[in-house]
Amino acid sequence: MQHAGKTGHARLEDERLLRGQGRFVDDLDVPDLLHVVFLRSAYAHARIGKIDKSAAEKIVGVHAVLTLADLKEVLTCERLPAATPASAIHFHVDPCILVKDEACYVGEPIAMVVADTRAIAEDAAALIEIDAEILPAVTEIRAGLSPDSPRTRLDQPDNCVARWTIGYGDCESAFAKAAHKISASFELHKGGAIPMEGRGLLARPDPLDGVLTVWDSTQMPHRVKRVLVTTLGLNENQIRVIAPDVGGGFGPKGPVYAEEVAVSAAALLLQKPLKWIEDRYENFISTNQERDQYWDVEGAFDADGRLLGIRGTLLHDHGACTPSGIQLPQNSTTNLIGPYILPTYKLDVSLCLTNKTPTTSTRGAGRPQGTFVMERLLDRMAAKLGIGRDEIRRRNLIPADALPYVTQVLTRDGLPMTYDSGDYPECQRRALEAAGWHDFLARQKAAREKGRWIGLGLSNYVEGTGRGPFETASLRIGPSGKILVASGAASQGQGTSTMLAHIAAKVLGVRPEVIDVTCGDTHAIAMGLGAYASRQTVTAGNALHAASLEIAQKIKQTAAHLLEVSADDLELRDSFVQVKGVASMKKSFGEIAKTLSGNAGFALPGGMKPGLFAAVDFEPPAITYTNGTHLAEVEVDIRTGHIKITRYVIVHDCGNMINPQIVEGQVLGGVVHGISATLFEWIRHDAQGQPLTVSLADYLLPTAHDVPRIEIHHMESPTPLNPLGVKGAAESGTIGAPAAIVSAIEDALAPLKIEINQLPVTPQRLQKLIRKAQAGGSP
Amino acid sequence: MDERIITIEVNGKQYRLKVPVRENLADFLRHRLHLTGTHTGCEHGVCGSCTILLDSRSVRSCLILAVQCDGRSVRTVESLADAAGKLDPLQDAFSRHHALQCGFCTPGVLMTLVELRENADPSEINEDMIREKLSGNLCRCTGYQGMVDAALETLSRPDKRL
Amino acid sequence: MKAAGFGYHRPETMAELLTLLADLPDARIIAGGQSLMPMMNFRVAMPQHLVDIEKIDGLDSINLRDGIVQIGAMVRQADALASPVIKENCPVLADAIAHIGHQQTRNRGTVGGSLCHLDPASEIPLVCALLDAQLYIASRRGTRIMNFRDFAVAPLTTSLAEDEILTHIDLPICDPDTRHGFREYARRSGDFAVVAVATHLRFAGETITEARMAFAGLGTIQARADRLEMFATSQKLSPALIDKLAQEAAQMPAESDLHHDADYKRHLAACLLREVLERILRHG
Ligand SMILES: Cc1cc2nc3c(=O)[nH]c(=O)nc-3n(C[C@@H](O)[C@H](O)[C@H](O)COP(=O)(O)OP(=O)(O)OC[C@H]3O[C@@H](n4cnc5c(N)ncnc54)[C@H](O)[C@@H]3O)c2cc1C
Ligand code: FES
Ligand code: FES
Repeated sequence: MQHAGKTGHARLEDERLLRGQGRFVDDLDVPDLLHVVFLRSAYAHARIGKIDKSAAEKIVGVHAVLTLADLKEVLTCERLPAATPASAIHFHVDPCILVKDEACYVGEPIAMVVADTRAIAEDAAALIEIDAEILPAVTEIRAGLSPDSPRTRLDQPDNCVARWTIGYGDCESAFAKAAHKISASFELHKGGAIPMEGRGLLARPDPLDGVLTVWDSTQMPHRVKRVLVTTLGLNENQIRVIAPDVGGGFGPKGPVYAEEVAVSAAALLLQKPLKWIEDRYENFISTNQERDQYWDVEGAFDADGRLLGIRGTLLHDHGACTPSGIQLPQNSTTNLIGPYILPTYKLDVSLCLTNKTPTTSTRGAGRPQGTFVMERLLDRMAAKLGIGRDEIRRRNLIPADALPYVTQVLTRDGLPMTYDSGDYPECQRRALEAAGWHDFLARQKAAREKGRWIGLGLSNYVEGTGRGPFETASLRIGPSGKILVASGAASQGQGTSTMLAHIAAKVLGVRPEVIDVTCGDTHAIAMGLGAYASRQTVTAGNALHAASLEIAQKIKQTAAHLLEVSADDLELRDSFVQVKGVASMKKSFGEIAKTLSGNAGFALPGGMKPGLFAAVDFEPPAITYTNGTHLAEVEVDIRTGHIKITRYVIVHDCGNMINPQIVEGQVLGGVVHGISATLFEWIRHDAQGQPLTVSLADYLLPTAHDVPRIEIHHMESPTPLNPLGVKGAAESGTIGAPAAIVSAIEDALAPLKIEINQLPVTPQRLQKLIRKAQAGGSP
Repeated sequence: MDERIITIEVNGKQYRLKVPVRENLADFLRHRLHLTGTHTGCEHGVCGSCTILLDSRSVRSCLILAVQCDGRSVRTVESLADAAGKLDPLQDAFSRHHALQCGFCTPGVLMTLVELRENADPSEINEDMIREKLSGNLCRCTGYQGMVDAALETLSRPDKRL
Repeated sequence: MKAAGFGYHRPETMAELLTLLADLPDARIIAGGQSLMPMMNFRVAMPQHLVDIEKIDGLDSINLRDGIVQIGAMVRQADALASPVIKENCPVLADAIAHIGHQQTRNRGTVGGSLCHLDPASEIPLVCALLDAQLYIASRRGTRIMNFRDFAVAPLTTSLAEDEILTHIDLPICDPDTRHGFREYARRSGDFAVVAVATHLRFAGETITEARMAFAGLGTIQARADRLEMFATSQKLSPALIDKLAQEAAQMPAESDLHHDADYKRHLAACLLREVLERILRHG
């Protein structure tokens, strides 16, 4: 595979963004624009009575104060049809578009103010008076699942919104014959996505053409459109959703939120363009997050440390609604298996509704937790057997010749989870070599003699990428000769346009810069899904690849007629089709397009079909699995508990790479997200469900000074599942990080025999473990 | 509403405008002057995406009122390319080193680094110093490495690079 | 997240300023705005009037006289950090300021603002506690001078009256017989301290003749640790003394907050103090 990137071109997106000419939602301005502020629930659980808007309405500059009752005129339903289906779910919880009578988390939108400026709208929102009767709140999942717990929502039978068992094989017998067992309990927290740009939208009804245009900071514009069509009762041609430049997504900008419907509805109601921009406080309380999982697990091994089975339970905090079904905990349970042979498996999973912000996937999407559990079990077994952490993995890794490897669990699409390509043992071998694993013991010994506590940790993982069902891409060349690409894919910084341009450019023999790519606009292409599950290179990339091949073929065939040569003698170069080696015999793409656009009454040459246009839906036959090995080196200051990551090495295999620089960027960002989740990010609440970490001063993200330089090495095992042989890379960095870092910390502190069972690993938590160990186990 | 007329130089251009006193400089630049390159990622002083140069010093434009800038001079990301539109070497290096993904944090990061370039001795600029100076700019996409490399290449003496 | 409305005043003379402070209801001084503006954007603070003191002459100078470093309240933290006068005569302050926030916040944030805001984890109040800074406070009623100890009432609470302004502070210069130390533990580069310690020891030969030790971040106000100082005075700095002081530090009163509990903070206080003292012992 020939690479762009380092050796080739800068991203097409860069120049605009570097000049400060990006177009993020809040950068857009239209005449007569009004601003929306939401009044949100101040309580985790409350019955909402009368809402007195009168004082707010009197403020100069306020145009409207709206509740659900006011929006009803333009809504077809009260609830947000958001839920992703799942048979394990006992009852779906679609929230009201604005709270009707029961608020179920702090931050749930109750009313909206429309005013000349955001500041005035905030002034008015503070004057809205609400009769609220505070109800008991469910804030902890173990308590929430007990039968005598108060209920998260009064209309639900209990808090256990879903429960299922994942597993296969005879786990009981495996445990009965096991030579060794390891049991462990983990409290794994993962924070929010916290993109630097929050959510937000601008909705503008146009009386001239009757179209409502919505510029939305979303990962999935076509899904937003679908929900708006449903909730507003409009036709598909009356709504256009555009995702302009989006300042990061990382998961939670995938689901559709009440605010998107409410602002669009209010724009229709008032016939005014409206803008709502989520501020950072709102982002912390109202955008979906990940939060807590409690795992109680047991691993069975044979005498050599080969896995015989894993069993246990997983409790998951689901928040107040079910915006993404069960996919987040489901990913955790399947990703636990990772690149290992796991003969038997049984995990009981319970999802607890809580009076907290709803949860959905954030970068990594539950997989880091599953990987963490498996990797911890392996490390602990290795310690018990006195063998290397690398060795126990070698004994359990799926050998290269076993791929494609069919596991015994099913993925969401109902197919067996099948690892398509890769060489896991080789990946680990290269990573160990790159990180100096075999010399490390000596270095560690020398450091310990100087009183320094250093450790090296590793983890292996897989990442299911390129999820279906499909993605679309189209390619069009008109008489202007301009190559126009459109796709249902959407970008939040991944360089999707560049990636698509590179794919089409290569097939059409042009420079990527001459291609005009439109992503994330429902008017540019009728169908599409967008960004989730590290999928767009796989799905949109292959769709466009096929469309490009079709157009290239058609250009050649048409030119063959015009130039009276065989199509096989033609080549495409710099927007021309020419006879190989005879540069003077050529036609421009524009001329070909003009020919195919026809002349009234005349036949097209050679019976060609009209137009240079192709649209392809690529339906990936199955999920394709990226894999990798992470090695983290840390130094622990045992007095403060401070953890410094001193080195980080990754060997990464995502099949063929269209643009290695973009792949590396995805992996780097992913790793830092993983470091952050391991050491810094922690969403806190008080016992009443009040969020406590609502500023970037209290919710910590690492700075440039807190992260190491990261070394990435690539393997390229092309997948047989798509013509480009590509796999996704966007979440991979995050998945391996917590397990590798914690492995390193435990290694550094091995003389103290410390076991880390909680994420995040804060200095305080770690220091307490250290002191406990130093005191010989008693606190 | 309390309003004031201010005179302010932004990117070399003089403006005289009436502003509500409660309007911060970030909102003033973005919504009154339509210089939307300066972003606001938190409005409470932590993320750094609103960083601009006020009389050549980097400041959080979300934590200063437009009225406080009466009579002063501001530079934003929009000032970096030269009159002919050619990118600043830092901007160019950012692109080559893939120092930006979504680009939301980028303008603030660039302005922080411009201040560093204008004030520090290139022989003192090394990776650690760049990382420390960038500690006031959060980025959620890149993991910082590309911007550190771009800064090293453009701002430091060759022997201080990796 | 937009500030509520307020009236804005930018007096050009001290007299004008003091009149405004005396006459306006619910007026708040704005200095660098690095603490006040976030609170206003969050609407945690909603003053009716803001009085900007940037234009007042004479509040932003750093002077050396009679064994005293005098620092104006409006001296920007970045300028204080870059000041050779402070570096040479009050190095502990320079060390402390290097730990405050980021370049962008130090470019605006002021020495006086940090003192008046009085976050219990702040570095400048820590140094002022350590060195018994004298604070100059002006109002239309006159000028008063106050020891930091009397100024700092409680976390986020000073003894300033509504019509008063802090104009400058006096810190004693560190003479050749003194050794200072500063250590801070913060989660990330630029964060407020979890715990910070500052020390100032005067020696006659090997014997400590004057011991000053102060802590920030324990949740209580920045203050000298009298008990520890008592143990150290007239002693030789030795590993045994350091052990003893660290043990005492681990018993100090502390308060838990969202991120760190009292136990961990006390532990850090002991560790950081030990580090500082061991360094002094090693390097003399
Ligand atoms: C991201 C970030 C990180 C930070 N990190 C730290 C840190 O690590 N350590 C730290 O100590 N601080 C830190 N700060 C806060 C620091 O930057 C502020 O500068 C300081 O707390 C307040 O100083 P100011 O000049 O900005 O005051 P302002 O915010 O203008 O005012 C603060 C308060 O003091 C009052 N006031 C100010 N000056 C006077 C005066 N002369 N007389 C009477 N009253 C006055 C005001 O009325 C207000 O109540 C941080 C801030 C940010 C945004
Ligand atoms: S918006 Fe100003 S620092 Fe975040
Ligand atoms: S590039 Fe997206 S936040 Fe930095």
